[in-house]
Amino acid sequence: MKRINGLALGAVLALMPATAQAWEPATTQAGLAEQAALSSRLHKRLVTLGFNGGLFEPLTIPPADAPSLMAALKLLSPTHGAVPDGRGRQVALGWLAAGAALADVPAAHGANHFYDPRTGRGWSSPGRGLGNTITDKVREALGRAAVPESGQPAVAWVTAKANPFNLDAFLDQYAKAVSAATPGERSRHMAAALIAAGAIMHVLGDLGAPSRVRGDEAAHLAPLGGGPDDLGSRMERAAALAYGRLGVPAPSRTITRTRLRDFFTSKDGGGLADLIERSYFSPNTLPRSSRVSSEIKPKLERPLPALPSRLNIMAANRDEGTVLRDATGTCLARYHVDHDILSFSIEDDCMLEQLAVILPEVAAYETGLLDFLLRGELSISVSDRIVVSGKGLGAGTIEVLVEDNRGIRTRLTSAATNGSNEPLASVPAPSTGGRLLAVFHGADKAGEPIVAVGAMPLAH
Amino acid sequence: MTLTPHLSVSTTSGLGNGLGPVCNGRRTLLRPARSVANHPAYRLAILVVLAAGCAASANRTAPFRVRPDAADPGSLQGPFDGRVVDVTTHAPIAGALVYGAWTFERGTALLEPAGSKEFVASTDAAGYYKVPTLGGVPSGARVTEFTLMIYKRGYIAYRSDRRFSDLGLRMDFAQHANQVLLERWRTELSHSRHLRFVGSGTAVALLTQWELADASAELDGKRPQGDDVRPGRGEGTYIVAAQLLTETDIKNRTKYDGGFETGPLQDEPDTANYSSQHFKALARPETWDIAIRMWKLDAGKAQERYEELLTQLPGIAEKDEVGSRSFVATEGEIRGVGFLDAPRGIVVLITCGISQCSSIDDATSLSKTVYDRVKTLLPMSLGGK
Repeated sequence: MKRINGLALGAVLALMPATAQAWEPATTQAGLAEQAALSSRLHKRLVTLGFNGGLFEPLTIPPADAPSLMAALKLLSPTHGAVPDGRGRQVALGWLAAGAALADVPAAHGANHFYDPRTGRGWSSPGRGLGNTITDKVREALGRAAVPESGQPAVAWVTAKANPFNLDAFLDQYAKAVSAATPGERSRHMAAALIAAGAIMHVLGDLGAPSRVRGDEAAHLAPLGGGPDDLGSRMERAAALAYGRLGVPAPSRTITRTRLRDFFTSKDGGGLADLIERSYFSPNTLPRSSRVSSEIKPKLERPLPALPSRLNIMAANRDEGTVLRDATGTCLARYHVDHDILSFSIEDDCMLEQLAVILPEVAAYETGLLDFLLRGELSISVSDRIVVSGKGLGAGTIEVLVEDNRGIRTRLTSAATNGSNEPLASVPAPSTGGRLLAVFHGADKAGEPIVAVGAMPLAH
Repeated sequence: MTLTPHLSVSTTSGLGNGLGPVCNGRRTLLRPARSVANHPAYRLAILVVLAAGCAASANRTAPFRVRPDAADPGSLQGPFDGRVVDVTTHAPIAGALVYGAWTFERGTALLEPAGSKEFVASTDAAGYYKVPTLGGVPSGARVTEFTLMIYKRGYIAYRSDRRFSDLGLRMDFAQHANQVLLERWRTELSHSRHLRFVGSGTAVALLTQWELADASAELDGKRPQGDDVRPGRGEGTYIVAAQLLTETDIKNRTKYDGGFETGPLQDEPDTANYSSQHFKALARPETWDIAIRMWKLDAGKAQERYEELLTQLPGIAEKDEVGSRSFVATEGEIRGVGFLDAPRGIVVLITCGISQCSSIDDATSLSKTVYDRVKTLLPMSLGGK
């Protein structure tokens, strides 16, 4: 059966013109965000905060409140599950997927989704030859697609002020989704928070593409078949064709980290960029071609992945060459000897093997990141006083609110805290109300920005 | 020097898709010579060349065939046509939502969404659909996808790109003469998966919002409890209401010369114990409609169901003309006939508008036809119960 599926996919890929690497926003990225959400604590958190349908709670951003956002959402196809209806309403899961898709709008923002952990660099426009440079200039003059010269490293972009969907935007909207007075306002803020979360997850997820973490910008200039402007990464296209949005695999596990940056890169090599950079080749960072008779091992562009001590030159002399595999058996490249020249390539079947391993891992990192964004929890106890406590928090402000039976929330107290106060807040219990809520906005013990929330029904 | 990797994929079919001049850029990785590129005369010359030859938008190659029996790829631009039928009965499904969407993209190297165009319609009385050719493409954008989605309540939705069962690639979609086989919804299926499957947008959201509560409950770990009530999972032979009464049966009796939309009633989905079929008269008032509801239960519960109908329906008169027991009922412009087939545990209720069934005899005659079919489909020797 696997063989049949492989052949079917091969037939689809055969219709696809030439090469790719990273994830398409409305399909693969939206699918990754959905899979991460389904495996994360998001559903429960939404229910706790009064969004009773959880991931399937309809949330509304009135179009008049956010015309530019609505204009951007109209760029997406509804079949990808992230377009609100005419009143600006769609379910929470849809808003998260929308954020994952909008992170690439405008396209120039996509230039900030690269990070090479060896150099610390982000996107740098690859030279395309004289003819193509002129062509690009003309396209630019025509107001059509232009390739940005450079981009911020992805790990910096998620907190950059220029990024409309940065960490601060998420935290601000998330806090307001708890503290805003009316259900309508909270719905709008939660939708906005989910857009920002989806976009941050997108930036991390992109680092699952080898070309984006190995300084291989040229891999993003492969013709994709939709005309002269349609250049991109073949692996990205292959992922979109093979998995679409709906077929993106579930996370292999949940990655936990204590700092946002560590999901991207860390000193211990545990970030997604670190993992992918050392584990896979990209089209233009393959081992260099070499002459077999010289008996000199092919020179590596980067130390890892390493080549085995002996390549199977006899098998490489066959017409189809042979496959270089990693310790788990995943194809890293095909190598082939022709006229005494040993060369390496990444063909479609090899790319599909890699995707089958990489995508669940990317989903695992995105799930962990989403849980990290939602990690802050407060506990509330009530007797004659409301007592709010929380663990692992640093300096910030704490608000305690009560919700009446119309859904209107009113602040009972707001105070600064240095995090070592225990409890964080204590106020007299109100005589009326249906639900108590608390929200902390500040930093955790590690100095990482955090919003921590808590809620409980109020019995009288 | 880094060698450009060899890739095994054909590069002939997609470079411009045969729609216009191919202006694919070279892949030589050289640094730009800015002084030449910025020279006004050079820029003007290239601009003229590009505007003439390469400015038009293009399509990617469609990942589907032009016809089910053809090897050639279809066109993303359309038009598209096909037919929607019930996978079990092969009866045409009328009135199903036909939702087509073209996806546009723009950008070079770093790609971005560039909009979409929707087409919303429904299948005709014979289950056929047509989606017209895409009119235009936004300036500077290209068509990268066409997705067709078919939705009818009571059925699993259909997508042209993915299967619901395993979310794998659908390989049998064709631009023309496409056949859509809709499976009836089963209670063990996941609404959260189904909502993801159907996508979003106004038309789809309106029709699927009833699934939201069930989807949310699933994520809370709350699944329907109790007996396995999936269609086909009960004891004995699996039958559905659509097998018991056909358009031909109705026309033979009532001499109706119009068409019907058919499909399950919208009141509740089919289960192992319940099935319905609605014959909605095309371009006629509801008084031309007919509906059949069938319960398949154990003998005791069938008796109870029948008794409930006797107490619930207005204008009841017991006649015992069909099956073990039967009744006729009339309310306003609707006539009804119900019967119990006690040995098989079958209860049937037929409702018929007064224009279609000019007398109660028409409804009774149709009930007898249904009863005959029940006996054929569930012969007692096969353990109809």
